[in-house]
Amino acid sequence: MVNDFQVEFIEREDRRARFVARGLTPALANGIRRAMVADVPTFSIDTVRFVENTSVMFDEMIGLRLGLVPLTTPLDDFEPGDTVTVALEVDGPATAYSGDIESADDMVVPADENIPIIELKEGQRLEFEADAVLGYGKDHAKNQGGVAVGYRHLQRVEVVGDAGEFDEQEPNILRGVIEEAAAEHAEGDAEDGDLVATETFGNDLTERYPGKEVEVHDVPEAFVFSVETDGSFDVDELVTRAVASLGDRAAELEEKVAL
Amino acid sequence: MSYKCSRCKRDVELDEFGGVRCPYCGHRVLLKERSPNVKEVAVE
Repeated sequence: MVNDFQVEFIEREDRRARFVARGLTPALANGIRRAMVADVPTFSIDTVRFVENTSVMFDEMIGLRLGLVPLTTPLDDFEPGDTVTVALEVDGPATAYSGDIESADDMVVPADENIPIIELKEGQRLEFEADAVLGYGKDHAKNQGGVAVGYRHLQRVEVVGDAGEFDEQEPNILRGVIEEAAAEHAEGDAEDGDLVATETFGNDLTERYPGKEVEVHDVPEAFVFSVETDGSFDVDELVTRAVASLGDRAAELEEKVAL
Repeated sequence: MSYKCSRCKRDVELDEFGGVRCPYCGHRVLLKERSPNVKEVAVE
């Protein structure tokens, strides 16, 4: 089974993207989603050595908060299991932010600088050294690179007639991305086959096709992925790594069952 | 064992004969200080 996949971007930023992929079975689409959550490793703080903690929180609670700080992860330069040492030293009165964490490696630093770790009052102090380990999302949720990853069917909207003159004007809410199939009835410039995010018309089909009766159908083998990363790497990296990990698994299976 | 007197804030060494009492001011409330050792915590 050899398929050509077509990918078309609707929205593309560093940390979030939305794209339509065609030629996928639902199983493959879900496989890619699961790989993005579980099979792309990220750095995350794993053990913390507290030198001083006179804050109001227990060491263990601060440790849990530290584990959830996303760290930038250049996957080309590290192998799963690799360790990078980070440290933090803050004297109160001040708030310890993720940006205060200093790293031994410039490539592995907190992805966001403004995540509060704890608020310190006068005389309180937090000092620790910690090991960040490159681990997998399937082992611990703190290692998930893809957050808010999902997909839904691409939907095709067709105009089948006029709405009855005395029908009640109720909104027809649809969320996601539609494939234009009735451009001549749509508001504004449109061409058949356009991919339109439903936010552009308030998620309401009666706004786009006023006075028309519409039918909505799923487009077979077309999925709209909505992907967001925690900042460890950009979306392109996440998706390509996830797909590559699926490919590796398939190759491994082929090798194992070959007689 | 090292403690700190909660009234005079001085460090107090207790042995098993003296009872729980600050030898400097006689106060009976002593606080156990956090160990100066580095504590390792696993993030789970």
